[in-house]
Amino acid sequence: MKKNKEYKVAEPINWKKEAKLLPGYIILMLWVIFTIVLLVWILAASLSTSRDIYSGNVFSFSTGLHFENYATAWSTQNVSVFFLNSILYAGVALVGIQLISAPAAYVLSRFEFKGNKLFKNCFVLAMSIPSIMIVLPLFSLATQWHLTGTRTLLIILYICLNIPFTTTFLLNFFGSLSRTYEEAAAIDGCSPIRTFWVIMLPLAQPGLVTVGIFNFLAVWNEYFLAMIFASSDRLKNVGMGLFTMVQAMTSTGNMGGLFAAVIIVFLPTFIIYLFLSEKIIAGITAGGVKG
Amino acid sequence: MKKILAIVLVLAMALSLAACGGNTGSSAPAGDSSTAGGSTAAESITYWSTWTSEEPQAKVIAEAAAAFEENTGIHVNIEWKGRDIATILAAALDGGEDIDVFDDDFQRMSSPTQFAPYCYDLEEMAAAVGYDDFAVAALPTAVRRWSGSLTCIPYQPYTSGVFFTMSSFEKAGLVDENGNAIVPTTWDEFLTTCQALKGAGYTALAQDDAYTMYTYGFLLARLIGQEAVSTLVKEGGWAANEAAKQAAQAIVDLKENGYLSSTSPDAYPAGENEIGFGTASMVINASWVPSEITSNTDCNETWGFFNFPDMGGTDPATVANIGAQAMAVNKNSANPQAAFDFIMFITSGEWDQTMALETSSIPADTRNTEWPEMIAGVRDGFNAQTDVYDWNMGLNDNADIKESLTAYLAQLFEGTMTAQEFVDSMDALY
Repeated sequence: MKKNKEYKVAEPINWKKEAKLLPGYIILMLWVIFTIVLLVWILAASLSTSRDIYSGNVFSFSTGLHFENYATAWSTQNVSVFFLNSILYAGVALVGIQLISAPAAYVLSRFEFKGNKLFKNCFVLAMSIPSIMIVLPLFSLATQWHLTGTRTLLIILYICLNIPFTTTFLLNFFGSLSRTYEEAAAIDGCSPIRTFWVIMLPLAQPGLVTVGIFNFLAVWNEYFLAMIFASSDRLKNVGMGLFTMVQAMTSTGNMGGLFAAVIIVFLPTFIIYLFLSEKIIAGITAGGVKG
Repeated sequence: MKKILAIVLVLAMALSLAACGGNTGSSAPAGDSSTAGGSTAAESITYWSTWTSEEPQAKVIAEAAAAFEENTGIHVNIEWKGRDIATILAAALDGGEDIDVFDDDFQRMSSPTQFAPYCYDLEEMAAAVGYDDFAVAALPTAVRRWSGSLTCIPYQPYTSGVFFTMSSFEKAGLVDENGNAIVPTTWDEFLTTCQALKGAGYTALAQDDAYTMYTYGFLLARLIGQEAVSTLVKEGGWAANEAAKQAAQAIVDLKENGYLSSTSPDAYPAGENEIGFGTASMVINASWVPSEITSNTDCNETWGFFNFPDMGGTDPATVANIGAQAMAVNKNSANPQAAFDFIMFITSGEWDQTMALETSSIPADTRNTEWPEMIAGVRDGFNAQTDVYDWNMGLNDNADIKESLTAYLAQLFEGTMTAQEFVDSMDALY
């Protein structure tokens, strides 16, 4: 039997409703235009020369488009090393953070026990301590224990310093899941641990994906810890590497190369957002509705 | 559409990662710690550098380290820390990090409150190689004055004064029949020079916000000497100090006479770049500035130099801010002699000459007589210098008032504050 074709009829524009939203649209448009102008300026500067940039003629391209700025930035600045290090740090740290925070959030949100509230408060308190306060004592300890100059130390720090936020973030997602899943699993003879890994964890997927993206991007672009603990060239991540490139190119006056390096470093996070924007937005809003 | 664009960009990134990933090992400079693993050298030393790996200084040092290893068999593990070394070095040394050699600004390296306590005393080793016979005398003198002994070896020195473009002086008629620039030696002559340049259509003096203290410091130290400047900033008494007001008035006069740009002080490096764009003529700065402006603006100027003029005060025109980077040996180094030998290898002889030519800087070894063309005009003034100012000529000696001083100086250069208001505002800080 032939299926009837579905025709989509465009809804007529409700001008009254749209007019009420106009102020919001104007503010959004201004912000979008501002952002686009900045990005276009940086892109133009990456194809320009120092002279044109400093004289305010970024869009004149008086000596043509200088694509060699990208080749220079890539080949002379070890950019591939920075990317590979960032992938390693972000990937491993992401897995480590999720493996520790997800069970912790599940237990804290679903079970009543002595010290439950204390643990939750401790995680919140830990979030309020800026890393700059603890980094020099950490560095001193790491030096004494001869741990500096290793990727392992940096990954451990990324995991530990992001657990408080991740755990706190996931509390709501696990807290909003219905208890009937656990009851049904218990009736079927499923142990609590197996219930968590097989049933509850997949149900919290929106939250895990969202916080995973946040953690990935935070570790990917992280600068301060990398400056202290990974300042050797072979260990630098994208954040520290970009700073090094900026420093080197500023001192050599190669502003075109500097902006080319900025574009190269900015591109991966931009691509990640292109792929995952819907999931990020869904994840941010998903935990807000109970039941 | 969004997804297609994303896929194309990911493929492009992946292909370029694959293409360039193999370059990592070969692009690492010789002597870099990334190639140190698996070194079979009998002895090695570790050097924490204030440079980043792609700066011209780093390239010279990396090549020198490779040559050093070839000569001595001692491998140099280099960590390119960049300027953040000033932040992390003390903690690293306190924690017992394995560092043999480190470098930074020579004043910080010699300061008893900063890095001098971590430095090995090099007097004996330096005497053994006759260091004082070929060093730029003012530099180790300053090191010994600050730290009490030779705790570091300065290299890549700079001097300071007034730099200008020959083209602007030619256009203003400030050259003699042989084409040599007619340079001022006193402040009045300097003002006459400014007037001639203004008449030729130039902003006579470029001024960036990063160097307002430098300019004011030069004016004040010429009048009363650096020690008196230091006392003034620490204890106050600005309104009662005629020289403080006179120096401020000199800036006000420069602005009112139109010798500064209408937008002075400009956001660094916009002011100095005007020289490269051909709209300004002179700048009071250090000897890296011709190279800096040339890099920024791709200009093709011939540069001239004269010492900051005599103001008729305590100090003559032969005193200038001279500085350098400096290398030191960690006092807890297990290889102090090897570390010192490496420092000497870089800071004297062939590699010092190479450093000077590759980075457009002054040779630290007086036996190296070839100066970079860009700063050849600095040579006579540099050799005539009789004493040394610190950076900012003593104005840095009170950290509590530094921010306010910078703000008030900006207002002087903007023309929104009188000299009397300036000294009164400074006194109000105490």
